[in-house]
Amino acid sequence: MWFWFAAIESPEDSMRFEAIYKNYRDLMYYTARKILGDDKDAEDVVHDAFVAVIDCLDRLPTQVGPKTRAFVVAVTESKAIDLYRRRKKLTFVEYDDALAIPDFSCPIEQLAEGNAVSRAIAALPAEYRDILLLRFDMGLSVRRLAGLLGKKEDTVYKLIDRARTRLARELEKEGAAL
Amino acid sequence: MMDENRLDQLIEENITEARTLWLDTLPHKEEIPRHKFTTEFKLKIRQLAGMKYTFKQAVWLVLMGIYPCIHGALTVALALFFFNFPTRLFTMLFEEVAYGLLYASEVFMPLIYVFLLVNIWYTLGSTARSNDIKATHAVVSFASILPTLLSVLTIFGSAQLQEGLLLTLYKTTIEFTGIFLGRPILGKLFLLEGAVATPLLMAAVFWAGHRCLFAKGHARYLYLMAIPAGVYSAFWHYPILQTPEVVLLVSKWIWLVCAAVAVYKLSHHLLGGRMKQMPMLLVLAILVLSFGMTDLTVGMPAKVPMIHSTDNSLGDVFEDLDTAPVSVKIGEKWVELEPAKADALRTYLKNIDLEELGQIGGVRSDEWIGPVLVRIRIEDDEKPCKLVFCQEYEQPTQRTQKAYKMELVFDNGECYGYSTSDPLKLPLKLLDAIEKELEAAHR
Repeated sequence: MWFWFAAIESPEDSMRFEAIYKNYRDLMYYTARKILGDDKDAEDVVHDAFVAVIDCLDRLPTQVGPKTRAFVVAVTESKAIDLYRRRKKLTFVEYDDALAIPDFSCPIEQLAEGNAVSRAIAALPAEYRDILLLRFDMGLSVRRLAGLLGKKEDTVYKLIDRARTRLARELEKEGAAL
Repeated sequence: MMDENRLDQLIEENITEARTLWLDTLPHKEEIPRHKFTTEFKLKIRQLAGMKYTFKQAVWLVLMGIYPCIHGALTVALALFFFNFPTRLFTMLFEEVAYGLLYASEVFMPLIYVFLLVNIWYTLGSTARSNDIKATHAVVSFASILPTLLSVLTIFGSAQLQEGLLLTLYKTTIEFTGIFLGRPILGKLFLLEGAVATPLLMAAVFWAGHRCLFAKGHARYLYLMAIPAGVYSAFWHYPILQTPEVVLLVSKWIWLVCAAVAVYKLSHHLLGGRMKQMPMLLVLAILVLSFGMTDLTVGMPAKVPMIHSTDNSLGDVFEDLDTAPVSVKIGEKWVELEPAKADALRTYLKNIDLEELGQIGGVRSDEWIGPVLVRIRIEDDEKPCKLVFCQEYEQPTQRTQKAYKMELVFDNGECYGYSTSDPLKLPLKLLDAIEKELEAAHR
């Protein structure tokens, strides 16, 4: 299998991609499959996510670790959610319990102890959490995010804005000290 | 509501911990079942790893972006320069300019091919390390050589006849294409380029584009563009299919629309952002206009300019027809017709259905569709009188913008029609009609 990656321009990039592929392909597939419920769609999304990995190799740490893990899962989740919406023919709406649109979030009770803000971020709907991680943790620009996720820049700005709004609302509910 | 800057600050301070909390909710590696990926997935990953994403963008831009840009820009520039913008441009807008845009750009096709070749060579060859990429480069380069060679031979061969390349370029489209009628070899080269070499190049470009796009999942846009193009190209380049005019027109527009949609979608995916698509949209507009404009003249009656015959004997056609004496040679004897009968013969000649002339008798070839110049040579002993007949004809199709010359020669009671290259017999129906008129005139 290793020779497949020999064509990436530098040997270092090749090794890094190989490590990411080896370590995270099953996790990415698992994540996509959980959202989409279909093997073929899940593989398509994983493939798209690896395209994003190649594009952002320069931003990823040289060694695989938590940051890389978060990146690959966040990108996979974003792309899977997009595909999920397209399959269900949903337009982007605010997440609202009344509408019963799955937000693929992680219930806050499942989170370990931590400060209120961190828990609130981690418990956001998946799409909001992922965009904040990619923007603030990975430090990707809006333009780069747009290219990575296959969205327009305006859409990315709106998504970040909505993520902030939702976070602020959750923090106010929790009465978090600001 | 919380201040946005304060919120951003909070996010930045806590994002790392948030990431850790979230990652802890994900299953560990040992808990995740190992998935057996499909062969298709593995192939895509392999191809993906073979070319970096930005590299593919560059390749795609070269193959599909620069080529139409050059073609479109040259088309517009040629139309403006050679047709003395603005006066002639406006007066001939729906006639010669429409075809000028298309055919004048064909003159520069060798340059376009060379440019494409150089770009592909540089882009793929200089930086490629993968054997796959090098193989792609080799195939496309090789496929570019043949149409380039044929185009160069055709253009410069024509230039020899027209005393220089500049003179060739200056000629109107009708005259330019008329060159091929008198020079069968060049005509055949021209057709060979269109019917064989260009499809070969397009197939190679398609294959290269497919290799680039398959890994990214955008190959469907290539099919959207290539299949209608292939269908239209087959209809256009292979007259043996005898495609009805309306089918040709519809297939061309289907191709143009599909190509526009495909390039728009691909440019959106590869370039991202609306502003970056503006150059591509401009190119698309130029292409659609330049190709589409040729169809504005379909069905419109057009004045057919005089065609240079091989012996440059065209004179004042309509004056001769009306005033020159008419003699008919039957056998060895020349008989001058009485004025009334001469007028009857002139009237008959003027009303000959030239389309019927070309189609009855099974002579249905590319060369018959178009303006037909018929010369009836009727001579007397003292003064050869050539009656030259030229009928206004419906606008020919863009693929058959050719002039065709045929002589009807009456000799020993038989009538022959000669094309510029092939002798052919006139259909019996027409022969009978003409002979009856001549017998009546002779009586």
